[in-house]
Amino acid sequence: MRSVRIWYEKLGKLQYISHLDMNRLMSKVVRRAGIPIWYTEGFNPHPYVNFLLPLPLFTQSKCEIMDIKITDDTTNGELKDKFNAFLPDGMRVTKVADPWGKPTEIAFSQYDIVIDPDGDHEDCFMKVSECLMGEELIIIKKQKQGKRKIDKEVNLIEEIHSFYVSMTQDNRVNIDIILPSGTVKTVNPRLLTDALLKSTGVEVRGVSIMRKRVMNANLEDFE
Amino acid sequence: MLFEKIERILPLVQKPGRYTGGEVNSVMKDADKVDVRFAFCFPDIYEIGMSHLGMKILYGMLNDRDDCWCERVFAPDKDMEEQMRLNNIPLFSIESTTALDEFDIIGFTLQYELCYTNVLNMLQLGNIPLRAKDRTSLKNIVVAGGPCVCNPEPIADFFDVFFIGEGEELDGEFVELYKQHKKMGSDKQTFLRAAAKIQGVYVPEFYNVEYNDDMTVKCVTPKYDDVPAKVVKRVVRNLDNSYYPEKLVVPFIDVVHDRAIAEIFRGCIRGCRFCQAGYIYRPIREKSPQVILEQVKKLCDTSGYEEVSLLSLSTSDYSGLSCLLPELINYTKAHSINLSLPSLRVDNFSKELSEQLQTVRRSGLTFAPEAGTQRMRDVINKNITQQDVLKTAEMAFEGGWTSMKLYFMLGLPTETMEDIEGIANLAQSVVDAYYNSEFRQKGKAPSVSISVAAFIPKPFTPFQWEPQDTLEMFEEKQKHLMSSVRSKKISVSYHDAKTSVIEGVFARGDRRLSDVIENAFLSGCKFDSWDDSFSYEKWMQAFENCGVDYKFYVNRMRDYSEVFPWSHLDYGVREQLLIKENELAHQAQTTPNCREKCSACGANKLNGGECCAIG
Repeated sequence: MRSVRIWYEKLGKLQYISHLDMNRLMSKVVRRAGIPIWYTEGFNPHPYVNFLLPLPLFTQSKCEIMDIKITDDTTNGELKDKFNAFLPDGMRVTKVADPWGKPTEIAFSQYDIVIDPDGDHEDCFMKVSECLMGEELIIIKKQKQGKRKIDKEVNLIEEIHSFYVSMTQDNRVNIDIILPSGTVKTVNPRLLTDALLKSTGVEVRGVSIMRKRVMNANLEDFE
Repeated sequence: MLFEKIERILPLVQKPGRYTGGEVNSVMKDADKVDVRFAFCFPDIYEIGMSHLGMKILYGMLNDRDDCWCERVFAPDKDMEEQMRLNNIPLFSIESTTALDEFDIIGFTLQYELCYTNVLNMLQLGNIPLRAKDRTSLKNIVVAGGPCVCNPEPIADFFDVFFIGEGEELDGEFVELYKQHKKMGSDKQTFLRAAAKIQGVYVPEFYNVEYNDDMTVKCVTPKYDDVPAKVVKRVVRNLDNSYYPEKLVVPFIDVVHDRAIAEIFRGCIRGCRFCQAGYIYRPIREKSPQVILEQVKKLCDTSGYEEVSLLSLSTSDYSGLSCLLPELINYTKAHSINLSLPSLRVDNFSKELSEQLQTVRRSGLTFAPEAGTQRMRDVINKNITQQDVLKTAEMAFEGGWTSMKLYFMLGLPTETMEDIEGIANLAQSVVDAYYNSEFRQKGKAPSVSISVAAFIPKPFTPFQWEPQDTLEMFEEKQKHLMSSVRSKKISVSYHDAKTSVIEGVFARGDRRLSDVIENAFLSGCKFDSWDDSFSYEKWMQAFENCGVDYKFYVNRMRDYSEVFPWSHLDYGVREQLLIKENELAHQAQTTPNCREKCSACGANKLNGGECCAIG
């Protein structure tokens, strides 16, 4: 038995499928594909799949990562082909490799947040840039302190590692941004986008968010 | 274009995955290359609709045809509907995001009466005129099938066609005929006249209904010579050869029953007098164990499901069970698949069956004695005894079970308060049996949950003439039951009887109720089967607005001679048999099951004289 790390894309309509649902989806895919996966022991065995980093709803990704265990000598290349023959449209395995880093080393994700403004795109570009370069963008987070529920103010600007705002050829505003995403701290890009739009008052036709890199604390690709 | 509009509102609603499709095994086709586009509409939310076997069968069957593309349409939940209305988004199919009014045939499945307002809501959201007479083109033919169409009269004004009986063959013939008429450029009337000649097709507008002075139906007569006076139910003759899907659409999101389903037989040998399914799905047709096993394997292979469930009205009555189970358990065990066997009866829940079930995943045990006293069970012809229940309970306790669910009904004909107390007593004796069992799990307390439903007389059953209890009677009986239960090991759950009043009205209603349904819908009624949205007050107001006395439909004892609103539909079972069964019920006399003694119900004539119960 050996461990395998699998990178896959989750694009298009699959952004509406929650992380919880991914568990069920993957266990069905490995069954259909006949992948020699290790099953958990116990009264109700099921395929063991460990998703390293939950992806929020309404977010696409080019770099989702999961670890599984394989019970025979199927090669990484064969695994990739088996998965790709049975994954639903919008999902594709891009890489199968032996695990290197520990899942807890994951610290940052890089995203493209693409805003389709409903109105003047240059105005949107200016407002978004100004807000992100400003001092604060406050959201209220509901937290539990012991048994009490408390509201905690979080300044998202302080959480951003770095960003770059640009205009795309079709007049959309692209925010290329690095946010913490790991076991210690995570900022949901959707939450940031909602706060940003609310604070700037920018009207949009749509927003799409794409995770494109997963990194460790030194901003190196997580392997 | 439409999908982009929808994508903009998805972040504002719960569970967007309900509306976006793309599931494994969902069918995509080129809309320009098919002749007929069929919208299969389920008048409830995605999670309910995707659990329904009939939709899976017909979806697969219609999409097997190259000339037809069947897509799924579900009722949007309230948050989604609000956003759709705000943003002028019409109801759409989830495969191709096509607006409902672009479909040739719009087909609903009617599984329960309380979905009728959802049907109207879906038509309205799809920009389809509600009433059949306001739809004049061949496009957007609105049809319905399912158990409720055995009395479709309350909703007859909204539909062009009802499919009476099973759809595996009928739906295909209808689509074929539609295709020809579409090519010929026929008008709607020409097509419907031709369609009415297909066995099982009922076109309500081709029938005149006349009423007596006392409001009862005088007669239902066809308007034209070439329209059948009686529409005869369609059945599939042989389940082994009839269409069954090889692939199931696998939902991404969690649905109510997310598992492979293997249907093992249709019909039921028991003849419980309250049970509509036991009468309208006759005659008995069994699938052979080999076919079932093959179908299970195929479905699990193509879906990746970790659970498979056998489906029928009474699993333990399947004559091939002892042959099927060992092989099925072998297969499911080898593939780590959970097997579930719903609908077991207490009188033939054998030790052997119990032992075989031990090896599969243990879930709750549910049995349905339906009534608390022997007299009452004899009235409804539920041929089980208290000993059967206790014997099964003991066996289950020996097998390690500690909890049991018991289903009952309130408001059965001839019921007295003694019968209600009998429910509590029966549950108590199950608790006692637990403590008397020497094999029970020591140190664990038993839990018995009683679930009581309100009895609603349904068409084509021996109780179709019976009055339904009034709301006050139901509530009094519920209270009495609660006060009769004295053990903390027993829990009781029941439904608000108000929904049963509305369900009862539509179960045996007539065409004059279309106005009431439309009125209630326009005043905001929808999702009536959901406790949080059902409004008894709005329904009562709708009856008043339309000058309809609802009690006429529910609380009245009908005469054997009365012409029923559904009298022009023939489900195979002779009315004489139903009358005889009704008389026997009032004498608390039972009737043997169909395997012990054929009661010559007549349903086998639908099947060339064949019925698996007679062998």
